[in-house]
Amino acid sequence: MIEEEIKQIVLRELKIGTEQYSEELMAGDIPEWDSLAHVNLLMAVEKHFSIAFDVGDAIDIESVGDLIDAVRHATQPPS
Amino acid sequence: MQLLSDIIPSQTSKRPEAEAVCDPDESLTYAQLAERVNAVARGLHGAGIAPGDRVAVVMPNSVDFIVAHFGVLAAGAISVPCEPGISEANLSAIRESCEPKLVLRRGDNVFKKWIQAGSADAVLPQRKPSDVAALMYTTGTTGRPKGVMLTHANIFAALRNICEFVGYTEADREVVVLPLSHNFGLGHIYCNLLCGGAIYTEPGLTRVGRVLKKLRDWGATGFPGTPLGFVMLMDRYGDAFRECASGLRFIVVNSAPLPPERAAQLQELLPEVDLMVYYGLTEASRSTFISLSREGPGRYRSVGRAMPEVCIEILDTGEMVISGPTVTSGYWNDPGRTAEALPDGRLRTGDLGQLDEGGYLTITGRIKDMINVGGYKVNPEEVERVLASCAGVADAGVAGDDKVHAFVVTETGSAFDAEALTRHCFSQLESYKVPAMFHQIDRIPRTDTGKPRRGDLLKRINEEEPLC
Repeated sequence: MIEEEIKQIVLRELKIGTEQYSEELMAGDIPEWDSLAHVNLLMAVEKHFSIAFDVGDAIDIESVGDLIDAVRHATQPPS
Repeated sequence: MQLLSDIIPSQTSKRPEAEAVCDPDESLTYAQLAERVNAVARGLHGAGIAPGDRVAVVMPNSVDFIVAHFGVLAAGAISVPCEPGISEANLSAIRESCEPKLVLRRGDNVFKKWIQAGSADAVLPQRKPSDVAALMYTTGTTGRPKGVMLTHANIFAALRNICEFVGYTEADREVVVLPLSHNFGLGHIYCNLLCGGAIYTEPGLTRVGRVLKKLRDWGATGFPGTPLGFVMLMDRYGDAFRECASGLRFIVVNSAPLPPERAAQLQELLPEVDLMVYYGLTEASRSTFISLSREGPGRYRSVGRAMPEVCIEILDTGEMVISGPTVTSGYWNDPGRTAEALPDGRLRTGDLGQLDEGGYLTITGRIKDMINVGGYKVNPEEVERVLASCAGVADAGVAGDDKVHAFVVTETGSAFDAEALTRHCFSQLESYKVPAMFHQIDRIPRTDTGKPRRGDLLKRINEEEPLC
């Protein structure tokens, strides 16, 4: 399940506890999620799901929820 | 104009309805900014803050930070900008050092009340250019923080040079995401407002999409940043960065050396942008400046020539000393470290540099980072540059005591060929500079400004088995 996999990646990359995690969590909300952590997080997600975010999509990813949406978009089979 | 507290009133009289400052939540004209600054100054005055008292401003980049900082100055007090995430231990050390009478934080009820009350009238304390305006605490990696005393005259001497060199005008609109608790970011706020421009600020590049869109949609003309930030923007967001930043007039890069190949990459990505770098310390703001765009690739390693009235000399040891009107008179309440840094009024920078015949300065390292190999001095930055130029090396850091230790990050994460690296180093370095030991590492620990944390690397030497 995408949500759970992303949760584990976010917890690992940001080195935060589950009590700090939510899908509403945004970049900059916590000190652990700074600009470098943001890039590392995107790369870790790309590697895990074997995808590459389009640059235009990547700049719109600001929260965990955005990340989940972006992965869904990138992994959905072409219609 | 000789006082920082005159900047906003002066611009308000010329262009009251022009946009002055904004952040993601609000935007103020000069008239609105002046009203808030006056209100904070009145509030501070009412709270018993007298000219010369210290007031700490612990806020993230925001309109509130700018209002608080200029409010403190307008009250005649000394502003002590601190990072919003400052640890209690560091804040305690700053409290102990300069004994601030008040700490202003974003969201404080008293601060909100002052702003809501507003004030059309200024406090007008009696201050002179030689009075200290700000105490900028340096982010030393060891020991107590040092409060660099900067007078109104020190800061204005630097501002005049920067405004002239960068060519600021009232049409400039600058996006500043550098921490305003440091001179680099705060200097851009001063310059821009001094010339009647507009500032957008937010804390760092964390919300990178928002920052990039602001550059494009707000019509930004200036964007100061660190090498680390620009490398991230180019490598990760290249196309979007180019599209959003193509309208910029200038970029200023500082806080760590901008590698020539990255300067070239940035210039190629944004060919119309005037790319500038400078050399400066908190103790001697913007001592040199250079436009890499105007000077061309032959000067990409240089940090430029001394600014007017700034004197740079190189001692026999290679260390640079700086004198002139921008140089601090010392550290607050710290005569010992003041005497050490300014033994004769000239600032001992601790940086190693070379001046060419044209007066162009190149920084070659830090005197305290030099590794002593049997009496031969090795500059770790020189070795790092050679290692970084070796195929397959993504990043490198060098540290040592009596031996040169190289820490290498490979591009693929796979083990590196130590023999090939050694051969590469021998082909480009004197033999005593070639690393005696190589260590593989996942990433080089770096400071916020991108400099390797050599102390951390040294610790690892005793903890890890070298590869050769």
